Amino acid sequence: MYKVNLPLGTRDSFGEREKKKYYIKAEIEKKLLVNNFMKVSTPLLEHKEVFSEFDLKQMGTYQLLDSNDESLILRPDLTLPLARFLATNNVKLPQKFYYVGERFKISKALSGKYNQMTQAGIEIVGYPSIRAELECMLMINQISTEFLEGKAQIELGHAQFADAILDELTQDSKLKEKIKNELFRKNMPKYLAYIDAFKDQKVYEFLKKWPRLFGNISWVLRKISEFELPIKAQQIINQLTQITSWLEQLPNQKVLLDLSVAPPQSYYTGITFKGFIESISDYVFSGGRYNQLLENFQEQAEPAVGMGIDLEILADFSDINIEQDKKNLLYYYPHQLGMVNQILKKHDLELSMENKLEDALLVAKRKNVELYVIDKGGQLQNVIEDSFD
Amino acid sequence: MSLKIALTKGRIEEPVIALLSAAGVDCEPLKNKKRKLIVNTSDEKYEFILAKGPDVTTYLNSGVVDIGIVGSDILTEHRNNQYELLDLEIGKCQFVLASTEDFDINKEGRRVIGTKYPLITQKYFESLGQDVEVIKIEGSVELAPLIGLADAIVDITETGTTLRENNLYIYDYLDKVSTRFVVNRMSLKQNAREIYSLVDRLEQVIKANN
Repeated sequence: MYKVNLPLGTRDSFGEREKKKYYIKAEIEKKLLVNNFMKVSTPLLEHKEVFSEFDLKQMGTYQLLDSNDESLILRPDLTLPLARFLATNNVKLPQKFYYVGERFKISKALSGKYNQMTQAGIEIVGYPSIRAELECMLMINQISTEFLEGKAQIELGHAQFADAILDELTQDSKLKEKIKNELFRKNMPKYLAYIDAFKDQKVYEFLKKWPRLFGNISWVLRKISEFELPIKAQQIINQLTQITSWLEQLPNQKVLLDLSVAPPQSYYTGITFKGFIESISDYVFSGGRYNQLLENFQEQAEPAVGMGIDLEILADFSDINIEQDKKNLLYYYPHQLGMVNQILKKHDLELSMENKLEDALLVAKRKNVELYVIDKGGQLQNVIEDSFD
Repeated sequence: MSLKIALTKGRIEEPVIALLSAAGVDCEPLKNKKRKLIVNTSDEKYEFILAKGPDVTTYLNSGVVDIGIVGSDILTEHRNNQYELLDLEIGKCQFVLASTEDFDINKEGRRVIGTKYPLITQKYFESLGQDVEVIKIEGSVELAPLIGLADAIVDITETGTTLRENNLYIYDYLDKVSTRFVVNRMSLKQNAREIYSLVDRLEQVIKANN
């Protein structure tokens, strides 16, 4: 017997779920192509160095050696390969790109999580305008309306907000990192121990409240109104407030603010946005601005905004119902293949697989569809109607 | 909708229930749960799920519960990445390195260490610049050096009594351990008010107890 069980963390996808995933993927691609996004497909395998932004050991990746003993990696992310692609292919910028593909991260063994995920994403490169962020968030709203009954909430943040606060507080970069780390992880016992160093300062009250500064924007603004924030932090808040007011013009769009959230990846430099629906423990959408990313691969930095869309969650939780039309059957003899080809161009029929006409008739009756044959003149003839006669 | 709380069964169950009661949670159904594994409070604000410590982290990570009440030993060993909002300051104990009287940590060669916590053990010896062979043991870890399976053990101890009764000595003290109130990340986003209300009430009780 061959070994029949799958490697840990993998699964087969088929039937209704696969149909739903394929449909959603196709609809998103259609939307992006119409809006002049260029599709980019990069290989599943990349050199390990492409992902040097990440702590690969912590992340858990599949790695292997090529024939030159160089380390290759099954991509854990699709943005960095796209940055590598842009730096090496003389593609004209500015430009809007999209991708759909598999990414691989090894999750904790036997935890019920999967290691291979299909992700779609867009990367808008070379545009410093806020319109790039807005286009991404408009897409969240559209996908949410189409596939999630409009239930996706957008959570706004900013990759520089924590630094804007902490830079004013201390020059000790190690302490800053520690505070940021525990703030983002919301590990309160450790966070409180680190901010204890500022107990005698006015800012301490803000620091204590900081991990809770997320939620409805008017609530967050009310909470921070009692504090005097550094100018840079205040500017970020003003910008996020303005974006919220624009987003709230979209149908059913609930917008939240999170001033204590970690950016999705370390390379983000500006506004970040995530989309989620209640009762699911992962984000469906995640993105933001990262203006320096390309610098890792080439001399010149480019302004860029990107967003990933988790197609697995969409396939699992979308409420769409893809009804496949019942197709009528065509029973034919192998020598009629040429005629079958002509008929299928004009008629939407499924070919019967039965060897005998009476078996094909039984199948058609069971499926409650019509059964056609090709008569001597090459015309379709309904066998079921005739059988009633 | 009620908040789902996974509560670690066993040693910490009683002090946690006392703490929750003092924080205004109706714990009568929990006290009289008999063999039930899922218990609802009568006001239907909370649903308690009784589970083993490591499973509490699994439930939290998969999002099937909103809150987990579990020891920091398990959170560290299982690399918790959900939000740890409060130290409940109960179930206090400490990790120790223990062995028989003749154990010498500086003796030449690679030590064999028995433990329920391989990750914590490896990190500890890494910090000492030592490479050790770790053997994972599921229970009665104290046996390992006594029967010759390991040179020493890394385990948690509350009073040291079991160690002493088995003629084991403490050679080093590692991290302190206590029970933590942990929240699933997305659940906090969706139930912030209810969760923080419970956190604040618990925090007041803990302060008053101290």
